[in-house]
Amino acid sequence: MKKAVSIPLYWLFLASYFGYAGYNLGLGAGGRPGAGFFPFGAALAIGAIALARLIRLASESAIFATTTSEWRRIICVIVGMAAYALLLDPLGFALCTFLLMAAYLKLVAVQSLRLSLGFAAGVAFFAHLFFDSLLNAQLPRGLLAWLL
Amino acid sequence: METLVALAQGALTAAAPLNLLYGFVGVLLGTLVGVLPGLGPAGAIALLLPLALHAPPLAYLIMLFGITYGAQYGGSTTSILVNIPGEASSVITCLDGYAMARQGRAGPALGMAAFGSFIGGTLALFGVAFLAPALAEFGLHFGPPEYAALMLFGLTALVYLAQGPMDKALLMALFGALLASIGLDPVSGTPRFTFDILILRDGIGLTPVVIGLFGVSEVLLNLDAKAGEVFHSKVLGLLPTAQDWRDSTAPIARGTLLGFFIGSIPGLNVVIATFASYALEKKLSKHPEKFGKGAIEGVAGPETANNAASCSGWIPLLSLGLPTGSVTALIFGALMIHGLAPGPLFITNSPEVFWGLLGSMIIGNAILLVLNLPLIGLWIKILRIPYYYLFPLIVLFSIIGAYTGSASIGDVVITIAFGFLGYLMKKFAYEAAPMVLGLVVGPLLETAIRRSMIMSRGSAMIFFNRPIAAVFMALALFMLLSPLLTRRRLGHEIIEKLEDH
Repeated sequence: MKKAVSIPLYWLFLASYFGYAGYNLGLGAGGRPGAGFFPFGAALAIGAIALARLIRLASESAIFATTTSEWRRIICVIVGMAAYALLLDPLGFALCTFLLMAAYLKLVAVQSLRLSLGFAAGVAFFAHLFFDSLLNAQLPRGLLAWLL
Repeated sequence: METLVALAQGALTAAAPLNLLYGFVGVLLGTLVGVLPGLGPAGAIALLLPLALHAPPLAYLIMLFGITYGAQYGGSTTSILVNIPGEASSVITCLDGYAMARQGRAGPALGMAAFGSFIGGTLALFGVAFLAPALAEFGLHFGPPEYAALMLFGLTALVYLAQGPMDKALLMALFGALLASIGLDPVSGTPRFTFDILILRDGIGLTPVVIGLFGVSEVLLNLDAKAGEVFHSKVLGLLPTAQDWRDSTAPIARGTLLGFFIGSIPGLNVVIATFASYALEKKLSKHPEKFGKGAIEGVAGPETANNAASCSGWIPLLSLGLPTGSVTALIFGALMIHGLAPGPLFITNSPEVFWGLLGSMIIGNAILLVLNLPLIGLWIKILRIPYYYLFPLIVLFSIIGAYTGSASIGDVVITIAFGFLGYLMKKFAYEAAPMVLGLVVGPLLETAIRRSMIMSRGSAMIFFNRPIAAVFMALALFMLLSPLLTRRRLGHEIIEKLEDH
């Protein structure tokens, strides 16, 4: 259980930043609105609503029901995606896909190594066939460029 | 007559082999995402947005449209067989559809859902064909103030009918509009909120944002999901009996009219149409006590209404350029990618696309009717696939979708960030649809407001002096302010019922 006010506080922070930056961009004159006019207006409205929520929710609690194991899986999925994004260029699409699928099935879905590797190899093969060979998508080939 | 000829020509265009193939893939994918709880039509369209760069425009749009109405068919299958709605618009079908399945009448329930969907969808299409061009002609009188007011009205309507508190939905719409202001200022070219990061100079792309919000976030939410427990008895006799037809004819007729009317109003959506249809059928029935215990009228009415509403929901987008929800906002984005600006001139400038899309929906509905009933066994098998095989594939498609749009790792990073943000939003009950709509209409709204201000030399009264703009502004203000005074939102009982479900 966390205090429900933390979320409106995030909104207020966001509104303050965009409001300040919008103001600095220039609001322009009435007949010729500047680059900051629209974001400043939107930030002002967000700030007003967040403030109203802050006052209303001051005594309430927010329920955020996520278990430790759920967090572990979520972090695994996000880290996997981030690693994929980092390694896509050097390793290439097919190899990255194989590694990601194997990691997800082994670590997130907790399946046997054999099943994970078999599933990953199948997905990597068909994904390469479909996206690279059939659709000609511009995906990096990386380390396996000599083979593919 | 002219309209019917144009519609027939559109159907012929849609029947060309390539268009037919894309349409077939679209309705098949739509049914699949409708069957699978978790990934909805918005997620599927988001994943397919990058394909826009490679596919022919009309064929590609036919596929995306096919996904939207195909999902309505698929959603009913899970409601009837598993008591889990694949789509929010099939929630109400669970009540009588699943009860019928438990009585050994899953076949007629599925059959009537498919026939009702076909009839409702096809008749609504004729309504779109007649109404959209007339509305577009009216839209030709719009200048920047009218457009600004119309977009404000569209955003407000979505906020007014949001499931949760209005202020949360309004925050999301404004946040979407703020995100849209990242990048170069459309008027002066000044960089805004770019932090000297190259990928932010072109603004935050719609594709990586929606893939994150609708694809990745669903994965994060459903990581603990298990395969559904599927109704085990063999589904026999899909054709409804003569008595079933007698009981369902009037609900189908009423569902078509109600769905068409509700779907064509910005802000009111398919879900509301189904609940309204169910409530109407129960009220008009001689045996209201049978509802919830396996009354076929409780399946026929709402299933017809959801397809009729799904079709008429295109009217504001195709005739006025007004997206009314996340799916229409995504289609708006897809049209823009192909340089087809939705708005009053869309039908005049791109008649082959407009009529081709309508024609494709007639063919698509027929394909779904023929395809769905024999494939029910396959959908049941798919429902039994454990989620741990599905989620890695959804993540992979999300990454590929984000990457191939611009061949940039930066877009993959944006997808990851919005995937996690989408997860948090769902946990804290913030809706994604107003944010996506804000992101899509933000640049158009900003330009329209700024042009209006230049026209009026700085007077905001320009939005109230011109009759059309004044009507939209009055409606928008009513929706924004009336809940503050009355603490009530019209039609919100239906939305609350949906939340209870």
